[in-house]
Amino acid sequence: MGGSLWQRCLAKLECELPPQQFSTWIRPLHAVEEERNLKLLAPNRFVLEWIKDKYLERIVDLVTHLAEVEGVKVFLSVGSHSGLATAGNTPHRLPKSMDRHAPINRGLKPGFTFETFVEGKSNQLARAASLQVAENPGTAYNPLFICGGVGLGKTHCMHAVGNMICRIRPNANVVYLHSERFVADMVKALQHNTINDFKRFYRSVDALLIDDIQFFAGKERSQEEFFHTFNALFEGQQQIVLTCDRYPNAVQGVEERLKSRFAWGLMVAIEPPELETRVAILMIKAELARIVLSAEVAFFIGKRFRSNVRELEGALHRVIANSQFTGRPITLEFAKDALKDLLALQDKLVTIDNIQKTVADFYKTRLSDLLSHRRNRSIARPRQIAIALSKELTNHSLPEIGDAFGGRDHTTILHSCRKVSELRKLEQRFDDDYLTLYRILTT
Amino acid sequence: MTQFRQLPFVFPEGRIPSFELYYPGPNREVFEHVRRLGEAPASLYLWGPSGTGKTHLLQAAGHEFTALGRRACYLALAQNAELSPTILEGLEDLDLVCIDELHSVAGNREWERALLHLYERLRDFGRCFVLASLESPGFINIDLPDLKSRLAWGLVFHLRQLDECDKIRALQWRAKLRGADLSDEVAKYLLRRNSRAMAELCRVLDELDESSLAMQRRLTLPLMRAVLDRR
Repeated sequence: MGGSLWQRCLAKLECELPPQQFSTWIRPLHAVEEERNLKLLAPNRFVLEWIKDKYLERIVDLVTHLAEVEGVKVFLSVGSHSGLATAGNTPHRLPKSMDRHAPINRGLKPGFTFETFVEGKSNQLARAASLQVAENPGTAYNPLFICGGVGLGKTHCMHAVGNMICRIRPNANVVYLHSERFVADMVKALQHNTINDFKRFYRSVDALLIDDIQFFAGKERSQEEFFHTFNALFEGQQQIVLTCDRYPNAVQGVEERLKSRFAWGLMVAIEPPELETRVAILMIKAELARIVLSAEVAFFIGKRFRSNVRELEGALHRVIANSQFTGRPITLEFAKDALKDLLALQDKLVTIDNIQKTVADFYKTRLSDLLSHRRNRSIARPRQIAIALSKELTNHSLPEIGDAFGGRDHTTILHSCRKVSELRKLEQRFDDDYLTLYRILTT
Repeated sequence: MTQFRQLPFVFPEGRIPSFELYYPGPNREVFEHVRRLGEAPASLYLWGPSGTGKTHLLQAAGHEFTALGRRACYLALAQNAELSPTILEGLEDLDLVCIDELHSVAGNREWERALLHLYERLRDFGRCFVLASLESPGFINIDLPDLKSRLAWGLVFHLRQLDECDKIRALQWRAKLRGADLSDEVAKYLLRRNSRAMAELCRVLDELDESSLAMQRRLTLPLMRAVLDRR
């Protein structure tokens, strides 16, 4: 039997074990073969313990039997073939991000720039503020707090700030990380008694970009550390950029003193993109993928996938993949066919019934009131919103929507839609309610 | 006269999920995408009812990566009671991560958060990630919106059940790979007499083939009746 010792062991084990066990526990092991040693690296401690408990004896038997030389020893530890992020049996290393000799500008995605960020009404304030911060870090708005629902471009905006700071000041030390990584690094630093290195590192950067800070909720020790890091950076006029899926006041489990600091600088929100922005995003993504996408197809996709940019990109990926698979050009008919599964799901997902129920729950009114002919404002407003959302989010005709709302005429439906449009411009709270409901229904 | 029964040759490769053993039928496009996973970083989401071959495809992808000397793992989350989300730590060092039965951890906060962070790490490291579930990204009961929106980001494929004709062809294909010849008549009989789930049909076919080898008889209706009646 040819191949390395571990490959021969793998071949035996694959025949002996049920496929699921083999794929789950044996396949992820990485073997480093030395003269009389076989080092097996497990991706984490959980896998290591499981192997030790259930398979190590058999592995040692097989190695003894299949080795061409005698006395080969098997060592099991946690680690990776790149040798990074090892723990367990080997001495601890500083997390890569804390290595003083590591290159600066860590974690930034080069493709997320202002040039690739498609501006629209929904995000223009966030983009303008981010640009200001990138041009004047530490002085324009500190911290810059970007909030908005999932998949709307918060992370892109944040990386664009980091990339631009680096472009203007090539020596700037800019660090991007997800809040979970901050917590994980801190836990590691505490475990390995390197908390002072951790503190020094995060307090010495020129710009610290932390994504999704809602995940700090309930992590008191991390919040404490972040609080001091925040103060140090703020006093040193080093830039802080934070993103969150909601306004700080709405985040449960985060200390008040942190929330108040988040409001010291500027808070900007990103809303779901409107149709023109969605179309522009599709055109840019298609161009990046070197695909010719007609405006007709882009409008079709943009109209049908509304909730967030990830979903929009997912739909575009599907069309491109299908075109590459079949070798057919991307026409409107083709796009409709390629997306029929995803569209069927959408149609099932947003129904008039679902909209009525969601709106009634949101305003704590009864569904029967929503469908009734009562005209007092506490019922009429939710009803108008539900009607406008039904027109926006479903493909039902106006008479069909009228029927579903207690047998109303199609002109009443049109009137409700116009009324909602007016009220959204006049009343901020009404507009917020509409957007929240829109997000609930489309996410 | 004593009748000698030949010991059947064990066909271990028949048990190992591989691309060769997969009969794509209506799922040709997803099959091609999974087969080409090693070519570039990708994230796929496969969904569809049980018996459409999701598990087979995920394990076959892992088999292929290992054969090319690359690291892969497969996790079936239905057994999450005995697993811990810490099993996802460090998986970004692998070239391919396949997570099956995602629906079984939907609503579990710890698992959802661990999966979200794994997704981000795999993306940062440019790895391949395949998720499979009974539910589509829109319908799966994932509470964490950050995770849910990412499910629809990559390529989403709906796997469909094989119809009766495809099931017959799939069984004949499997039989051929084992060196046996399965006639239409015998295949139809097999479908009529058993559970119509592909995994079960394949298991019965393997058993029949082993009996046919042991008894040195061809796969015919009388042999099949004899073997099935004996069960």
